[in-house]
Amino acid sequence: MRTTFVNSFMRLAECGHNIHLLTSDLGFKLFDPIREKYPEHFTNVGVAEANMIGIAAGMAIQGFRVFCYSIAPFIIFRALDQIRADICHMKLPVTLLAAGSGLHYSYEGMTHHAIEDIAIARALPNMTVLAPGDPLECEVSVNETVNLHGPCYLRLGGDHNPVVYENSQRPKFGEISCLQSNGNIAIIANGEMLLRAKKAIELLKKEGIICRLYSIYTLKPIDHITIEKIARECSCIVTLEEHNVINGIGTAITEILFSCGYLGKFKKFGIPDEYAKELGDKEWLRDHYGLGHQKIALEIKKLVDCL
Amino acid sequence: MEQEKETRLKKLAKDVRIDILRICEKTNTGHVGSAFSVVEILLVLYSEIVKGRYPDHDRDRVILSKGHACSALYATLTRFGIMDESIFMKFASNGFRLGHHPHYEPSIGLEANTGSLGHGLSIGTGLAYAANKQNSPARTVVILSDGDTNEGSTWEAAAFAAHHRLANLCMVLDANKMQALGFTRDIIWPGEYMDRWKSFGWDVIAVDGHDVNQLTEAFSNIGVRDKPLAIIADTIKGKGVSFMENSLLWHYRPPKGEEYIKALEELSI
Repeated sequence: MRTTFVNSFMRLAECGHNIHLLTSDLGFKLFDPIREKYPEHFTNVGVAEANMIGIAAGMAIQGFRVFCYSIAPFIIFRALDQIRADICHMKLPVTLLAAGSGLHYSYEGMTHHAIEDIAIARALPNMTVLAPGDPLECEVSVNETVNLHGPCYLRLGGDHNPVVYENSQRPKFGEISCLQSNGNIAIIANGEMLLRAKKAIELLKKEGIICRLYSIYTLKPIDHITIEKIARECSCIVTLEEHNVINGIGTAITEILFSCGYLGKFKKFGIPDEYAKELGDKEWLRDHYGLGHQKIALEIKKLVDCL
Repeated sequence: MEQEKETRLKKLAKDVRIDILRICEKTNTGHVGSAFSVVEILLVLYSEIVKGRYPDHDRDRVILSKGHACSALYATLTRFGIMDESIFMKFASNGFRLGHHPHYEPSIGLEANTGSLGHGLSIGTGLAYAANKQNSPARTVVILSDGDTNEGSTWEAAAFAAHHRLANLCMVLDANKMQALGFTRDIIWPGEYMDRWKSFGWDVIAVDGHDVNQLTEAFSNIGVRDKPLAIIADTIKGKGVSFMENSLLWHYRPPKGEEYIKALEELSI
């Protein structure tokens, strides 16, 4: 998805958009195409995240749409005071590119994990929050962010993410996409969990359990209408996210389900409220927390068996 | 500076201090000492230095990083007709938008949110960097407090500005040498300010921060050399009222009763 961002940024630069990319000294090789072709659109501010947000605010006041890149924990936790006072309250057009969200930087340890970012980003007034699950959603996110009048938190996963959308279906900004519409069991996922949800659905299908697949990549503002529709049509709803189970998108969806009177089954999958004690590679860590597609399928089967 | 102009600015400084005192008494607002120390810096900027006005994209911008001294900024903006007096008079009143720290509202001269220290220089640096990219003649002046220099982000910005040789950026340090809990030298020894900014690659000038001639001369150096300009303005917290000068109490205390009357008398002489 990081490469998708780079390609989308280059296209926007080519179209003459008044955009600028700041990085706090991260993105080795990633930004080489931008640096070579559009050096005037790129600045490395050094390892100084708080300053990067302040500079972005100043540039945005002066008329630029600014993208700030770092890995997720450094950009949102380290610079949070600048984010809230300098860009959120002032409603400035600054997009935070949070790379390697969730457990992506597995062995790098907890300093590099970001399991609390969505909770914080969603609680910031004026902030649009996006967590694309495949390159198509990422492209739409980057393109739409230049039309926003305020700040945006764009949670990027890793690289080499496959396209999850099929045929000619394309994501619509601000809307939950229905990627599979059969059955009355709904799985709502975002970010890198979208692919895992799809794989879990394939496993469940072999057991005769048919599930719908929804992708929610616009986390704020949230698509109430589609969630209420899902609540009316389904008897079992499951949310999947690579984030703390506290105050992630599962919590946000719960709030809507509760207020619209949903009475069916509900389960949210996410990272338990703890920092990683044991490390492993990405897949090991996800599996450790029950977020591998096989464990997800197993849990959903248990849930469905109780219906 | 001609004698007439100097006399006018000195008179204006008294008037602005009275404006600050009155509005703070009326609204039970503190930070009078911090506001009094920055008066001449603001007056010289708006009288002699700042070019252009909102909505001119190429206007010079002033950012008061020490946002807690905003009563001085509001009073100055009002005296120069940038902020309407009716707005100033509603300072710190229920349901109104003008509080004890400035919120971004460029149409009345508030060029950025400030109040959390250590933000102003980064924002100003971004403005100056963007202006360079746009070939805009706009200059940015950021006013820092001693407390601002405790913040690491201030030095991140200082390094960036020097690295990119932002000659259109000026930092003026309102060095009244006090901060929230006491004298800066007793809290975090700041080193020699001159040496510190020089070592970061800035052009540095030291002035008496209450001397309008020295300030005017110093500000005229913005853009002269190929680097950002740091003006270390030696100031007195609570300047102008004998019992407020160099007193930590007046970092917080709203002027009331006899103290208010006495302060008003001293300023009116």
